[in-house]
Amino acid sequence: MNSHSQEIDCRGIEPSEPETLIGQWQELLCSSPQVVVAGGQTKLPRRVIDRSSAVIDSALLAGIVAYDPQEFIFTARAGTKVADIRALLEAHQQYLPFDPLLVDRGATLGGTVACNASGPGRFRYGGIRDFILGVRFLDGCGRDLETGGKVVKNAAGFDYPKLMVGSRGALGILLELTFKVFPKPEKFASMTCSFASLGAAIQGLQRLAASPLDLEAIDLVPDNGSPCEYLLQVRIGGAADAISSRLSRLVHEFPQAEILDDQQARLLWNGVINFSWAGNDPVIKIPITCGAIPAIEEFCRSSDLRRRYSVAGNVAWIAGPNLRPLMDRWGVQHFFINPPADHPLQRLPAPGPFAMAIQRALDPKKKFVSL
Amino acid sequence: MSGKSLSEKGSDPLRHGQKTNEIDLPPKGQTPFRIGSKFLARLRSLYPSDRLLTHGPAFVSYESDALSTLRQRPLAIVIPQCEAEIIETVALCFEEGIPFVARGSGTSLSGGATPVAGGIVIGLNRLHRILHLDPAERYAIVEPGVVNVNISKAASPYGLMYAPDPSSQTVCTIGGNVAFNSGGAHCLKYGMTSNHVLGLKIVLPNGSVDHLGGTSLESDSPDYVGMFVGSEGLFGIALQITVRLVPVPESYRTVLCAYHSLREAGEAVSQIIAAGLLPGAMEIMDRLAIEAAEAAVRPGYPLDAEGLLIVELEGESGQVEAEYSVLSRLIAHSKPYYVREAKNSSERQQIWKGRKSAFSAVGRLSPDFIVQDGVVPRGRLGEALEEIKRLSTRHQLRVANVFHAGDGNLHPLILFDGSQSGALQQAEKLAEEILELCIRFGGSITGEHGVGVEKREMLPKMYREDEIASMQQIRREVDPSGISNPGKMLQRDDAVPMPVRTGLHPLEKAGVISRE
Repeated sequence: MNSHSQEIDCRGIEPSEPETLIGQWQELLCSSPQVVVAGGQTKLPRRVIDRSSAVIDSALLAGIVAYDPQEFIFTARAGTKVADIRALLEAHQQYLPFDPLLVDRGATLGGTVACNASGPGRFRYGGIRDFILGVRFLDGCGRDLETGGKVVKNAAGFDYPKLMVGSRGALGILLELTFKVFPKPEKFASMTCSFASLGAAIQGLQRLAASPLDLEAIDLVPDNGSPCEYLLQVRIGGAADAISSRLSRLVHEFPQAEILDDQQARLLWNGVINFSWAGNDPVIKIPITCGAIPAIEEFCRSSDLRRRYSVAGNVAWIAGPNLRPLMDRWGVQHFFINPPADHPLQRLPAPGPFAMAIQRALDPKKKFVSL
Repeated sequence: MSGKSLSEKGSDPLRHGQKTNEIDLPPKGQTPFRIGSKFLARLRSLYPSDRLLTHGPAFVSYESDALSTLRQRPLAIVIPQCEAEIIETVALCFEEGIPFVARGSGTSLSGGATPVAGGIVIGLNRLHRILHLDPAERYAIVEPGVVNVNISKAASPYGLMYAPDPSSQTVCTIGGNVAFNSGGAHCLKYGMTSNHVLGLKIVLPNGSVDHLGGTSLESDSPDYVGMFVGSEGLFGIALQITVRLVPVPESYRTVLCAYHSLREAGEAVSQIIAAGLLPGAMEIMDRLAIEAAEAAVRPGYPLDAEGLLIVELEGESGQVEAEYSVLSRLIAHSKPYYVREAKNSSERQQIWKGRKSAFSAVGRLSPDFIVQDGVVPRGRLGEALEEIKRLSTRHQLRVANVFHAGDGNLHPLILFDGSQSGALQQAEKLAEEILELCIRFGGSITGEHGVGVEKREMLPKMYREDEIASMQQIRREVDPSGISNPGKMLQRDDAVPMPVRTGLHPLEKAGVISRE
């Protein structure tokens, strides 16, 4: 679809109850426009949405539907702010270990799932795909589907909940999501460690990731102070009694390591999760393995692009005013946040036959615009 | 669930040992698929005679999987040795409209690899190469016929392992694990197969090849890998599987506690979870299961226990020790009358040996049994067990309980004597009522064995019409001719017959495999 974005107020549908939306959705299915679902707009603001699309604003479709702390499971509507969920879980010493992104900027649960927005903590126990248990959504045939389950283990039927992770609005309108959660560690501790070369830093990262030390997060960043140096940022979590001995053990591996105090650690990881390091620039996400880092660094070094290699080198986050050459080089299709004004909504590669079959089944009339 | 009687032809394995016609037509009315001699002739052009079976003793062993009471004679069995042969076979099946069932070691407990009348079985055990193992990036690319435990063996020199551990892991293959999203005792902390598969190369039911995911933990498309894993063979065959490798835990603490009641064991689990501990595994066995395990492998379990709890902590030693001191307090508080802690690796193996053999061990207590697999919310385990006890009394059938208590995954074993008329039907009725109870409690009809043939009548009880219709629609789009493992998970009109259940699989009797 050709799109040129403008600051316009699109035809907005703002349901506050799933039942209202289901009715509206039936009507929309009989009309011509394609639909876009917007939540907290922390990743894609409305201004980039094409004027011919109908916008379903899920921000009002909010609220925790069920939370039983003893079961370590909650169900919430798609428009629920992740910050609200986090606060509720924290009151029961529980958490979502995958560091959902942009929480302080107002990210919703639905947007977090649709954009597969997990952060550094994804390294330890897995990402959104590993914690999502159930999803209720509207498909392109008008069906209200309750898929997956509300228990931590379920092997019955196709795994729609996982399918919705990263679907970016292309496969259905999310209504409610069920997640498992984990007990929150009593204490966290963090350290940083600088390396004189990229090679040494990657080696250090891989050594840590393959070691039996239980790490919550390992990120790699170029050191702003000096052009050739790189920093590893590492977080552990666990029992208060053991954390300092575990931290010493970690530091012992890297004599040049620096331990962060609680305040410094909070600043660091909050900054990562809320992309404060990217300023207001557009940011893209490239799924990688460590092996790709040298080439990306080579490409970026002479530019003004900022980089963060997160989840032990499994994701490259890159921010800067002009990301197009990089996107072309690595085949990246989406801006993660702050797309530039001239960003075309769809620049999708031809999907494979399996993806096409799933799309045909869930969206036969091609009603969904993928963002 | 409720079985139709076996067709006369399928029930007699001996008959298939004799020389049979080259083209063995399925019983009338059982299949809509055309069977032509042209198909077999074309198949023969792909495979030499020693890798295309249409009769003989080896052929018979493919007629069922670990749900051995379901039997079906296929048209032929092919044994490909490379990926290209699989692709060509699937393409040929597509052209000729012949159904196929991909199969590894046949350890499915839900009949997932039961052949289809008039169709072929594609045996994948010879595709058992580990194609690439990258210790630095911590992943391996393997062929579907690789045995689960062999991945961990190959990774162990690097201090890495493949985490999911179904108890048949010494024989079951990774292709089957992917198709059924296999679990295991240790998936409480790190998840099931699906949580450890990063990428797939697949052949779709029309013979086209596709790549899903990759080698990264992250992805920028919808999670098609997650959709494929656990799809029970309905979406085609995995040709290459990229799995995540994780560091072998540094230390373990394994504790065995015996209680005078099952309720006390269940309460201990609730306390452990409520305290915020995250053990690698938490298992409970009831008296009958303990008795069976003791008779079979002598793990030294206390025989007078009504409930036995196994808890295992794993991870970095400092953390494990800190957790262990909390766990010890909780256990003392739960008042077990007997506690044993594994002091070394062999004692740990000993504790697990009894648990892992429990299913097949039950065969010593009863001529026949049904293995069930259902899930209830963890907080309702006690209630569910009481209900199962009540049902067991009402049906006058003994039920042994073995379960993954940490995630509410029940495995009731229903004991019966198939030689008594009506006993099987009674046992099946009880099994069905237990699954209905799981649904009523807000749980699932399967935690890890899959729907297969066994539970396809139950799936519509767990999901509504719309969800089933959507699954069927997806299935139709991926496999318009319905040739890829038909009759599994979703119902068909021309259902694969549900024959009599007759107890242990021959491999179980020989002690080669055991059930989770």
